[in-house]
Amino acid sequence: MMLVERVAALHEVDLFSAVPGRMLASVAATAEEVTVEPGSTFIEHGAVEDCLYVVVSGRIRVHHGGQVLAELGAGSSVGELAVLVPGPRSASVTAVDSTLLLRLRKAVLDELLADRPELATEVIRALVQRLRERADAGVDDSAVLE
Amino acid sequence: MNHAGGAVRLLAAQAFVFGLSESLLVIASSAIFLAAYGSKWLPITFVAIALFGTLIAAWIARVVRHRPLSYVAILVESVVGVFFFGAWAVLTLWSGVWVSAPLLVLFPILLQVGFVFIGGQAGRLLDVQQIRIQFPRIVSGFAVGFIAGGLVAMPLLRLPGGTNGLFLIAAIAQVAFIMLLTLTAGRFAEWLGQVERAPHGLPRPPLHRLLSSRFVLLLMAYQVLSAAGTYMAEYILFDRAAARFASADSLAQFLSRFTIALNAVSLAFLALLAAPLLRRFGLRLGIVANPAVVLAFTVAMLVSATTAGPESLALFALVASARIADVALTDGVTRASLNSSFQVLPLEDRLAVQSVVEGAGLPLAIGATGVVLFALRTAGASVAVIIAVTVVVCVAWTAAAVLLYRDYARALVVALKHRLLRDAPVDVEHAETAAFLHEMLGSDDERAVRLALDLLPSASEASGEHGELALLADDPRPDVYLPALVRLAETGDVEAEARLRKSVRTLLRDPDSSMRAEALAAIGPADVDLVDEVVTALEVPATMSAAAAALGRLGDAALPRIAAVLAETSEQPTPATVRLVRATRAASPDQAAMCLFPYIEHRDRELGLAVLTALGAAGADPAPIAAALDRTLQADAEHFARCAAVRQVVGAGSELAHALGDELELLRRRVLALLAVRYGAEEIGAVANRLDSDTDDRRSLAAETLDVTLTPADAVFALPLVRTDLPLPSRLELLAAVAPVTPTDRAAVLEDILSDEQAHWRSDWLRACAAYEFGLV
Repeated sequence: MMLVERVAALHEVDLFSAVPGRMLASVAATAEEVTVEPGSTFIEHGAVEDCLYVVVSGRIRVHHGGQVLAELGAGSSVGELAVLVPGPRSASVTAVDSTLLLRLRKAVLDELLADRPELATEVIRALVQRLRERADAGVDDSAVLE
Repeated sequence: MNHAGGAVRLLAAQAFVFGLSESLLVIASSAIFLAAYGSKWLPITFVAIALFGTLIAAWIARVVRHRPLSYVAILVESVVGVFFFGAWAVLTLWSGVWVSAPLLVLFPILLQVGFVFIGGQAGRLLDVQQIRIQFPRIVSGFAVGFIAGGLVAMPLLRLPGGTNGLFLIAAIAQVAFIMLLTLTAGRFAEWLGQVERAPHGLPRPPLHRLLSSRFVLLLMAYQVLSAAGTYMAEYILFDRAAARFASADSLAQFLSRFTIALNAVSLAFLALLAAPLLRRFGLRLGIVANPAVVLAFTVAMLVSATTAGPESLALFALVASARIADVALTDGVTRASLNSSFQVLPLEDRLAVQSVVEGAGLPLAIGATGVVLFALRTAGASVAVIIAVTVVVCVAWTAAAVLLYRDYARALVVALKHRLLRDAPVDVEHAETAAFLHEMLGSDDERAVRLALDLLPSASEASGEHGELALLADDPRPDVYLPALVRLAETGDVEAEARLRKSVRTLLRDPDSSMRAEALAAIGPADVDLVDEVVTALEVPATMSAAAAALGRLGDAALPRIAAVLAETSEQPTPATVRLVRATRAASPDQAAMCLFPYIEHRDRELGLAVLTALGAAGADPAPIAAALDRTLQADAEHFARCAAVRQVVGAGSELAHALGDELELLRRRVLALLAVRYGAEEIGAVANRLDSDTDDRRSLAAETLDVTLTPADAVFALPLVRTDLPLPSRLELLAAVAPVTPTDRAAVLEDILSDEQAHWRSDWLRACAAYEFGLV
């Protein structure tokens, strides 16, 4: 992916929608592209990680035990809370189709927020908005965020 | 506010029936009163107006603090309607002309009370900028109603008993007014149907304290002097008219025609000039124009009275013209401006203050005018003397207007700066607090100890805690012993100071970044030898926050190093350089200005923003850097126009459009930072917070503050950039005069960004987006 495409993919995610593109370019440059085959699990329940994934193309399924918590497509993300405060994953995530992901590390986000502290407000707003939307829809999928 | 259109239509309809009712009232009551008693008793009615007007205004001010506005308005106007009907019955059945006296007294009182109700509703349904633009339209309803009243009155006055019938029509108009008030209350129940309470459970200040603020006193002075000037001029008009038209019929005919002419001019002014003038010149014109114009007329009247004589047609024409100009300006610009100015008061007290200022100010002024006129007449004063007194009143009115406008700008800033968070120092003298702090300092819980150390006030007051601090200084944990040593060093403990210096220098070399961060947090103004280490720490993510704070505490000592880094900075500075510049915000104003001034116009706009922000925060004197600020403002406005125009060509959705949007936001922040340097960081910071607010009335108040704070030269560049409450095309339109953009096509735009031959764009990111876009074309 070209840098511009990576930035465009990150801009689709609520967490980064308010971050100026020129700053997001630095973040995008550090992101790792991860291709996952259908049926492959890239987040395991209980694993302690500090990264989030942005779905660039394809579909993923968030599940715990036999229960499917959510199915997400391009423009969605999983693990926003983990990238802010690392902790054990509360669900597993598996690719439904062949899926292209961008993986972002906590340290990168930390640096971004240190450079532009005012962005923290936007990050909080985006997270709360997402939690509220899900709660309004009657979906308890905090696992997606973690 | 989104419901503005519907609200304005309903309020204009209210104003129409109100104007109709008032017109019929004044024509009928003055014709009957003047025919029965003559103009010599007019000053006595003025005194009665003062007495009853003040009582009614005081009652309304009290009631609106406990009852909804709509309830009070409907109650008062219903009583008035019943009174009109009763007056008609008294005149028709018993020929009781005496009833014209209380009706004549009621006219100015009802005029003010009616406008308090209409203005009060407007104050809740419209924001401050909407009031400025829309209120003349609402008042035009009043002018149309007043003309309609004159037209209805003219044929009826010729019929026997027709004058009495005017009161019956006025009563019917009152019924329509009440129905419209009820309809408005129902449609906008959310805003009008409840009593406003002080936010967050705070106690409401007593009314007398609100009324004694400088701003409210100036509003009161303006209203009183305005009413005094107006009624002096009106008295001279009645006096001259009574002298020229001997019979009651001819006088009533003149009054009826004059009322129509007066309101026709007022209506034309409202329809054609009022809104554009207020939009262009704002409250500066709205508040000052009325007294200045009336003053000019009264001076001309004085010259005419002393040269051509009191019976001359020239004087009569000037008096009539003065009244027409006064009414047109009052209805067209003054009412809207005064209503806007009430918006700076807290919502929950606005209507009560407005009721007293407008409701009582006017009757008091009329009463005082009555006393003065009565005294002048008793002393046998000539018309020229009465005009001379009017000139003096108008001079005072004009002076009050100038002071009020200046105070309005100040009051707006004070309203914006109102904060709920205030400094709340911990009172260590309080026994229970001290005991609690003792307990926390002795706790095994590290967080409790840290919190106690944070809460301890300055050194001298903390001396009572010396024992605990000494113990904590021996704690093995750096995040406990370092703050304890800092506190002890502040008390003058030399040994603690030496230990602190040694510990900080040791920990700064620790491989663990959290240890280095603790050391940075303990650096004080005396550690000038550590500037290089702090600057280095600014480049490491784990220590950058602590390093930035340490640089701030080092103050001016860090400036030579910052200046050296800036001097070596290339065209594209690193994020660490930007952080470094931000850290100068705690430096002394002169030193900060000297260090940062050369970089205000730096090619990199992010660095320029950091420089402007730091200069504003340091409180640097803007005078020596005025030329650089002017150039920057103009260049940013031009770049804003360029980006906005290109964004329209590129269309929404692409990453380039997103990048251009980011560029517009960057320019907006730069201009706010520049204004903070010029007009004060605290003031502009408050404006910026409100501009980012999610409610229309807050954004509108912020925009109004900028409108009255900025010089016209700054406003023309800055307002289109920072007014995010306006749509982008409107902002571009505002900029067109000072930053015109040549229309271009998509290919040329992309080519221009890619080549950037004129160094306008200066952004690698924009270039990357354009290149990507070019590949898709």
